Amino acid sequence: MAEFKGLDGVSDKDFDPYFGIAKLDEQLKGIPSKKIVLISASPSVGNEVFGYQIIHKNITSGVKVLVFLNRTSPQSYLTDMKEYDFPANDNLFIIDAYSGITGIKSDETDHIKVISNPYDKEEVKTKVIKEIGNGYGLLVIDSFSLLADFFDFSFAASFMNDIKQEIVSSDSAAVLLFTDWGYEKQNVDKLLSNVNSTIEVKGIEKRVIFGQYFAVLKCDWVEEKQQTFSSVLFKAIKPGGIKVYFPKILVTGPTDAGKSSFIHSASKNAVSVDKLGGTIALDHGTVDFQGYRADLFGTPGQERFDPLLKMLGGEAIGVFLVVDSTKPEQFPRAVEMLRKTETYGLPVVVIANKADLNGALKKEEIREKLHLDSAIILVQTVAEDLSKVDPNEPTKLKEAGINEALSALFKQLT
Amino acid sequence: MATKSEQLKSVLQRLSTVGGIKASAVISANGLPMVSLMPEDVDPNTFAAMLASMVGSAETAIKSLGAKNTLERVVAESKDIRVVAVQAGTDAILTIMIDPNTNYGLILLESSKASNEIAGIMKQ
Repeated sequence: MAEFKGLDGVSDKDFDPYFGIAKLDEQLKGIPSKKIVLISASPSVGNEVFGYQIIHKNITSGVKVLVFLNRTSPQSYLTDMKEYDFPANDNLFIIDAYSGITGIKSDETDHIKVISNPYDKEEVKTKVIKEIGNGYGLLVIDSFSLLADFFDFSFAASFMNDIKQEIVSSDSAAVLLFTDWGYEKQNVDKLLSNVNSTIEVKGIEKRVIFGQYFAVLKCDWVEEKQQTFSSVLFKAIKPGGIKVYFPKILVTGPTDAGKSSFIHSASKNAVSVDKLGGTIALDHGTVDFQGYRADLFGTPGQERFDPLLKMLGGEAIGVFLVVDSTKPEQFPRAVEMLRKTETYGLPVVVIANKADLNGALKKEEIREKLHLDSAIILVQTVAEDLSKVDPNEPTKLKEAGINEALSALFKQLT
Repeated sequence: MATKSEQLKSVLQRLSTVGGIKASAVISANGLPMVSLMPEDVDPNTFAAMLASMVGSAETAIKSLGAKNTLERVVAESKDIRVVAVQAGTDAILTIMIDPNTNYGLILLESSKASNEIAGIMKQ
């Protein structure tokens, strides 16, 4: 996995450990040492992929990670991780508190420690606490709610206290995965009061958006002024893991401006309905960028397709408005399309395509002619190779402009 | 009480027991997949976007011909697959993929029953 940089291009090397999950790292700036994070999920959604991704992020950045595992066997855990494209390496160590329950004998290796009797509270506690002291940057418990099921909440609470003491004295950090099966609220609240940050993972059904979101409920290391946490839609993708997800971003603009070119250049699997080079119904493409995933919907530009624009614009949460830098006469049409798609007022990034052609207007001229508010970002794009431009095919645009545009819009959307 | 997606899924599951129905999905009228029972190699996002635009285009076309009632369904056929998209209220579209050599009448009947149920679930 490439180093996660986030939309601001801030390297995560300044902080250890990290979530490796877009938006979470941007909001919380990683997991400082001596802190406990609890990820609480509703049963229908599940939080194990958060665990996989956090583990993978850290073991590949050189952080030694200890996983306390009572949900499944180490073998099937590692297999499941691999399916998300998160292979294990030498920095991963597992305490197996599962095999002992099933009666399968598990042999200790350098990387797998075994709790011989997982029914023995004392053994569980002492073995974990003792092991944390051996230089781990991060402890992950999957799952902490199973500990409460297995023993009780008072054990879970006292175990958490011990973990806290130990990670403070050994400069480590902890992530606890917790599935809320409808426990008594006071028990859960008591646990939550003892952690430094709580992240909630739940399902959402809003109008026609059916999905999953995560939200930071609390975090004691981010200054209160900067706590602008919101719910973030995500998808758990195999392979790939957790991606912050935008179900619909509209790409619109006048005819022949380069909408299809933008979608095909930005996404890996773009599909177009086109005849003789012009889009007649829509373009669709899925973009993966810096831990984000978005589905792009491109409109046709020609006016005779205007009756479709409202359908295409429905439920969009952001817009790329593509214009041809050499054709200011089309600019009024561009603005009209924002109105017809009923997306006027949504976050928008203007893409001034063909910026290197003869007669292309300068950024400022385009802004002025489009009457752009100063807060709206305008990004210039150009073809990768002008000699390869075929009027009947989407043109490959240079990556720098594409990435600048994606980053500018995604930042506004979360 | 079951969530909307669970209820929609159970409608699709029941549909899948009708002979000839190979796959099904509920998508939003503006092209987002909601729930689906589809083979793993189908990308539901692309599929939903294309189907919704088919329905949207058909609606516009039929209106421009002077149709007085709303569009009921759109059918696309090849030799091996037939896709039927049925309006399910204002927000959702039921789509089913069927084997063209089966009892089409029965499938249409079942799918229109299912689309009514879906419309009801969406209104909740």
